[in-house]
Amino acid sequence: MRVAVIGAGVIGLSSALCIHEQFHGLVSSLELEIYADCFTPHTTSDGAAGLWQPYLSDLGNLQETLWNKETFDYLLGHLHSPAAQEMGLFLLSGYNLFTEPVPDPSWKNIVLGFRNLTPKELELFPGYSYGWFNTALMLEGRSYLPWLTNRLTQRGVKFFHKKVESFQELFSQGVDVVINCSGMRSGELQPDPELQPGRGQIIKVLAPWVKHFIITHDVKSGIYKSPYVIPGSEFTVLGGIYQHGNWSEENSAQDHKTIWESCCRLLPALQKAKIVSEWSGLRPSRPQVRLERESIRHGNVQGEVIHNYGHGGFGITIHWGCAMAAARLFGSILQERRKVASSPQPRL
Amino acid sequence: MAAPKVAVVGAGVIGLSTALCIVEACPSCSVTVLSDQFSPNTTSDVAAGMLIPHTYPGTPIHMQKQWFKETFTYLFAISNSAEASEAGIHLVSGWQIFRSTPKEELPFWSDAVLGFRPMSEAELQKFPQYRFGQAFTTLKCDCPPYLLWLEKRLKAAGVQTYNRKVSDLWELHSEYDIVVNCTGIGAHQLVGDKKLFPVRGQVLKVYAPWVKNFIRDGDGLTYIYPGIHGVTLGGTREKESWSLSPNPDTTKDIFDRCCSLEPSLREAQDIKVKVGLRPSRQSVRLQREVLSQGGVKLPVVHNYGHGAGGFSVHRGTAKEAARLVGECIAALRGSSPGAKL
Repeated sequence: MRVAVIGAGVIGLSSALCIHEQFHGLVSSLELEIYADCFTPHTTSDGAAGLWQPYLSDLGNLQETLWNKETFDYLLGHLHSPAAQEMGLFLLSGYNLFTEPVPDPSWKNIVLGFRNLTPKELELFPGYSYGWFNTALMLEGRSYLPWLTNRLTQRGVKFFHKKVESFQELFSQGVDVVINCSGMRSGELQPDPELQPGRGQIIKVLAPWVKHFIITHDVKSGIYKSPYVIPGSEFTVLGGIYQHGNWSEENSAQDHKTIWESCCRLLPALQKAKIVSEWSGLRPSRPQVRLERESIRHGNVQGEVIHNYGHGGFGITIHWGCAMAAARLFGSILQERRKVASSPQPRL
Repeated sequence: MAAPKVAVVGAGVIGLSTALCIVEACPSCSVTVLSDQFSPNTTSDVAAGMLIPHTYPGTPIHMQKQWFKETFTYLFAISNSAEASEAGIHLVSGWQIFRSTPKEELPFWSDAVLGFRPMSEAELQKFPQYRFGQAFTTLKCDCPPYLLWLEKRLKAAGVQTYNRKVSDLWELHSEYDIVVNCTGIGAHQLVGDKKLFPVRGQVLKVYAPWVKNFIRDGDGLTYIYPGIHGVTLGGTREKESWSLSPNPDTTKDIFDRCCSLEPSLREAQDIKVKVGLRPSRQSVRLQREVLSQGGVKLPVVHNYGHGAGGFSVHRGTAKEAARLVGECIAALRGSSPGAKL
């Protein structure tokens, strides 16, 4: 059984690991391969700060809330393991700020110690009159992706530096199942008008005195259009850009100015921070995550595709729940094939 | 007396902040700091600088609370300014945990720090051997940065600093009108205060930048305090020990205790060991005294004995010391024309 994963960001690598962990022992000759034209540190996942935090509203997507919770619980369980530091996993506390009261988020009981901000805390943030404090998790892509890669390599999973042009290309080579984790560029494999770039830009600085994340919200403008500060293990990420439909991966001077000025206004202590680098990336945004099976037939070539893309700005937050869901879909494909294989009637 | 000459002896957090408060309260004063040690070699440099008060059995609680609040307010403003990184002041959140529920669930300072509340069950799960905990956000003063920043402010205000060992306060009487004694543990020798005793503390300073929250065992012996350039792991409280030499067995013990609270510390790098002697006393000695010899008087203001709580109350006690200096000046001015200057 040959399985090919397209994409080596957090979604591709974690889906591969989850499937291999669950089925390697059960399926004889399970060959797992990963195809991608870009690997860490050049993937979209590498640009993300790595903070576990879903959007403010789940828009009725209870499924996604469950996947977020599964991911948090999975990561929390690894926090005290010897691998945690290598994975880039650690606890981080911080603030979500609003200009008016808002309903509690779907994830208030998933994170630790969720509470409203006190008046004295709000004094720190002039212009914001309401907010939350909680302890969440950081999972830094620059560590997590290499860690996943090492686990996969140890398990004998093969990596191919190659841009896959079509699902058929893989099926005609003998691949049985494709896991499509191609993120932003899924549309090149199969058109999907619902998948749109949510362009982001970030400035990385050296500011080791910042120990909290601070995420501001402008409920009218939308997610990530308001300044945010997220301290990592080495660098602090400053952001606050979300441009729907903008495909440019070039850093914009205007966006730089917006980020720098708004973050320094939010946290005056940042004024002395040294700028280390700047980066732009495209969040693979979709009204909901596409996580489903599809049978692809083209002439006499056929195969199963499991789509797992469209995680927008919450890929890290939701990744493990989605990986497990993808593994379940893979399990059902296996089950069907076994039924056919063991059926007494001749194969049609 | 046109420009009163004030000597502050001691250049730890107490000496430097007291000198600054004096010059702020009395701009016409000529203030000089004398010390045989400056940052990074003071007791203050060993401390993590966390604003978590120590309770002095001999000082009224309302006074300790006022000192803490003044200090917190002062540092809070700096932490939220462009000077924060240079001054080494930053906010940090975390947990104080107890193996058994403490008698006093609400310490006197719970409303002075930010967001103080009991830990949730889910949060306590991170510490299986602990039954109770408090979560809050407080401030940390990193040294050397904070002391260097204070020295810079003093210099800008015209305060001179000299490396000089003062063996007897009286030796200063001819050069200075008022002496302020901020010698910390040095006061044991300098003024013969037998009520002052060292409480030896050994700490490790390690590189573990992924540790962003503090963890403190309520017994005060085991703690993890993340700073700007390193994490301070502690510690010990050895009463009456004067040894400044690191003890390797203690180092291992501290490391093991901290790793059991935060296992990821096993990956910590660049471990350095430091020792400091907390200048401990039943109460902070914050009072005026007039030394006299052969008809000559020397007003002294004492500000020492802050033990484990120096950073937590430094600004509050410095302001009080400055106020006492003001009283000394008034007393000198009110004296007969035959008095000094």
